[in-house]
Amino acid sequence: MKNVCFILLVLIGIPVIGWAYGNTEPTPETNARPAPAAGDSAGLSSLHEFSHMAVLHDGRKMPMHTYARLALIQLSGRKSVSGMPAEAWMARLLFDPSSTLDDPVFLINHPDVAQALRIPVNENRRYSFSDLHGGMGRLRELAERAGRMESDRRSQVENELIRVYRNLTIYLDLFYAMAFARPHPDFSVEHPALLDLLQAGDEPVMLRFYDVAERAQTLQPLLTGLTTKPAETWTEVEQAAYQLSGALYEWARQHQESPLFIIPVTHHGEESWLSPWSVLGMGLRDPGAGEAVRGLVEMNDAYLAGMQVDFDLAARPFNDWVDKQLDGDRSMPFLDWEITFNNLRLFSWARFFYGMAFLFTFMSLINKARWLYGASLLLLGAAFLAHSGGMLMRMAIMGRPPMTNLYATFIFVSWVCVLLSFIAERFQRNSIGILSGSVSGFLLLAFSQRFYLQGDTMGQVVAVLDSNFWLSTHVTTITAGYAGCLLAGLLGHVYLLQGVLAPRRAETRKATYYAMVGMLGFGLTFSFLGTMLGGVWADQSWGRFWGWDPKENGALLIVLWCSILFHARLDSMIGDVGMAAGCVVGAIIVMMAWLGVNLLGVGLHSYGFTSGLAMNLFVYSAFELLFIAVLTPWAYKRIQSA
Amino acid sequence: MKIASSILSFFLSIRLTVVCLLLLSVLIVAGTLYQVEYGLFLAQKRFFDSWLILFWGFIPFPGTQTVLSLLFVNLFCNMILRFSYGWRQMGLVMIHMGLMLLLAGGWVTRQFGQESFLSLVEGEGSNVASDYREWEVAVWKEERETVRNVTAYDMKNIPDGIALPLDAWGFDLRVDIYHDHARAFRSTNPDHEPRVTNASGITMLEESSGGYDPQEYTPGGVFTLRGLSNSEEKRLLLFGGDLEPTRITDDTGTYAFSLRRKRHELPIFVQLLNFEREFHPNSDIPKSFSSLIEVDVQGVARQVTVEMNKPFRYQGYTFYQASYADLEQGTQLSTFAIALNYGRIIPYVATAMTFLGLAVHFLIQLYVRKGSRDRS
Repeated sequence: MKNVCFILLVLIGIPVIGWAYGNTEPTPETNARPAPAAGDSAGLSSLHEFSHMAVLHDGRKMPMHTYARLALIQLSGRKSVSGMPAEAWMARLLFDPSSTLDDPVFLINHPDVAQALRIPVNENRRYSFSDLHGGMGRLRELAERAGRMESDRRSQVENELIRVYRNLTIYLDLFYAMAFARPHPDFSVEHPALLDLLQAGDEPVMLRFYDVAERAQTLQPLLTGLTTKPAETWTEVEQAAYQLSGALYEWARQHQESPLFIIPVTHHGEESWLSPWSVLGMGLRDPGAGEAVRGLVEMNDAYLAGMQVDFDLAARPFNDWVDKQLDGDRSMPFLDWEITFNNLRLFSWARFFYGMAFLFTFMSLINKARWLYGASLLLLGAAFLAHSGGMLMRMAIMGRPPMTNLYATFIFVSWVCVLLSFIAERFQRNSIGILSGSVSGFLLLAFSQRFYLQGDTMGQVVAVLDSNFWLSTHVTTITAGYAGCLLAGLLGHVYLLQGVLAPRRAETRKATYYAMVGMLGFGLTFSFLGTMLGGVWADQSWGRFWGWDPKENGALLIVLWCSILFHARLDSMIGDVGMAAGCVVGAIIVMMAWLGVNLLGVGLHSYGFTSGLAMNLFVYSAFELLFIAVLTPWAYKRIQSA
Repeated sequence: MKIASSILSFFLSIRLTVVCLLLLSVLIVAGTLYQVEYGLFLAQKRFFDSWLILFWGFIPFPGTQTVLSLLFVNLFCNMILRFSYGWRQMGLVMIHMGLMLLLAGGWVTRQFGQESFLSLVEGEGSNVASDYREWEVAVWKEERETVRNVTAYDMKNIPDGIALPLDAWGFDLRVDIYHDHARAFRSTNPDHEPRVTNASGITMLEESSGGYDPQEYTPGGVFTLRGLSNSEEKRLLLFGGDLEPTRITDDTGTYAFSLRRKRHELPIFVQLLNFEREFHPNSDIPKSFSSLIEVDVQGVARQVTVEMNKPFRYQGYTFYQASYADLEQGTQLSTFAIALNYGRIIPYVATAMTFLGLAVHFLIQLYVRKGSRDRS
């Protein structure tokens, strides 16, 4: 029987963990060749230099590698499109945008939106620009109407319309972000005099915006007298020059809001990042920035021609110039780290190893083979190593303690859970620590993915949070408190299950009980300290120690619940089974304090609102309460009768 | 004797502790959810500052103050009569002493704390802060002196019909109507002769019902000024939103009347030299706000920078960078929150004591358990 269970576990478990590992992150291949499409460029064999370009996005300097991922996640909810990594897709979108028209990058979650746009509903919910093109006018109209409504009055469909329209705008902004570097019929020159003025050879030619903008001064003598001269008396060359300057003006006006900030300049000692269009709009006055734009034009040429060496020869000086501009900036050396961090996928590996450790621990509980215990411990160690590595790399890149947003707290809380589990295992050596560590590590890291897919997880912190001292004291301790209480809750589950499944094994149950109470004590201690340090921070920042803010109340509730359990146990109001059930309730309270208060949308801590979270929390709480309602009396009865 | 013993055992009971903690949890959940609809101020008033609550208007429930007081007594009795003071109990004693101190600190802050704010335009200075929620009627005689003698009356819970004596000038001000939260109107009829005097031309007041936080309220009232030198009675309309005081002139001079936020005198003169704000490049994510102020302490001036997470403290007062505004002239206005809290240090000590107590207690437990396991 044991062997059958063993084989079943292996057969079911490995594919499940494999799925969890592969579900959210495709294999990024920095050097991948862009997939050919109709009218596609020859592509490049390496996008190394392109990936290393610095971009300023939402106030943070990041490598193009990350920027591309964020943009693609924003549009499609994925980090790759048709097997192509984000940076390769971004290179196509910037340098050869028409080749991306058929890429299914627009995620439309609600079928009603597709129907409203009168496009066929797609089962995988992802649409290309070509699919949406016909419905663009209607999308704009509907999104604008939805945008005029109060946000809390909007339905899911209306929110989705706004989101899809915003994504379409982002796509189009990027589509045209490098349009100045490609020839266009608007800049066709045929008149010999004009060709001569623009030094464009003898034959009629289609120029780029950049070519005309660079030599715009040469057109000036032709254009100067035109305002006072009747249009019908203009010469052919004057008419052609007028058309060209009109196109120049119109293009510059249309693209002045381009969001691709890749050119850093310093004005009056203040750092500012410009898009190539802004540099062109300012008439290429800054020689360094002008040279950088020329580099971009060369990159575009090389990309379209599929010339790797030419591309690198244009991109490397561009990157060197940016580095020089930001000499001494803390974040620049870490751009390379960030690409390594993206490619190593340490949290995915950690999740995978946690899953494997859980599987092996479970097997070791059925089949008592020593090697299974050793293997599970080793796997947990490997997972913890990857987890720690990922967390340390994030800290180094951001130059901050490990908690700056909700996503980061998941990474840290799961890390503390595993650390505490190791300590429990060190004391007890009965696999309970490995079990709780692997489960908490796996589940919390898996859950963190939903935040990861919502945007930049290393974003800038606002002024009031800009204190590494308080972030590393208050937030670290309070989240360590969460970890202790969550582990106590997890062990509460184990205790109740042990009570039902093996009521005669009092010794094993007692060991679980001690571990559970130890975790609860740790949770109480650190929740209390964290809550009070929060008060100290508030006193330092706003002049009040306690303000009954929802997050403060949530933290206090954890402290109160832990205290209630300890006092009730002391007075024999509850027994061991009651304590275990109480620890499970404690885990619900932690989740409410940690995530639930963000859903209230009030108070000083109401950051990181996440849609759909309310339903997840509700389902989780309902499941836990049902678990307690069924297992507590059952376990109690079984233990009593044993 | 039996009754005294029963009362004592009631206050010594751990069940009382558990019940109090449970009640407190219920209050916290209810108060937190209440905030979503009614805001922090009302939630605080109804749940956290109260002694008794009526849920749905008729179900009585102890308020947070009652529960905390019970917990304090419960803790105190246990500290005196139940706790043994050996090394094994050292952690527990520290935890509970810390908690008592924490509760006491909360009480001191609640009783003696004071919160106010000071808004200064660059170049401006003041030694007077304004209250967030309380208002006063201030009266002074307009003179060319640099020092002005002001008489002010606190308008909190002021009953209509009461006369406010202004003995220095020999007249009084009767409160006819006073609204904590009012809306003001001007007469739309140009021929209409106003029956009240107001600096902004307001002729009518109406009680307003919007808003849950008195911090956002603008009060207004109609007053009768009696005892002027010409024996005339004047009806004044004073509104919190008036930009100028309302002035009345008689044979003895010109008097100014203003309904303004209650003033708190500060022990130092503060001048705002410069305000600076910084954003992360190309974004509207604020990086830092800071004010360079000059403080004049007993004739000695020094410059101090006040910024987020870096307040300036002086004699129990703490100045925090609270907010700012851009003014039309290109200058900026910086607002400081000012807290006076004599019990500020208490929670710090209490936290340290309780945390150490918890750590010591659980470590002792671990040690004791390990010892008993080793013996077995």
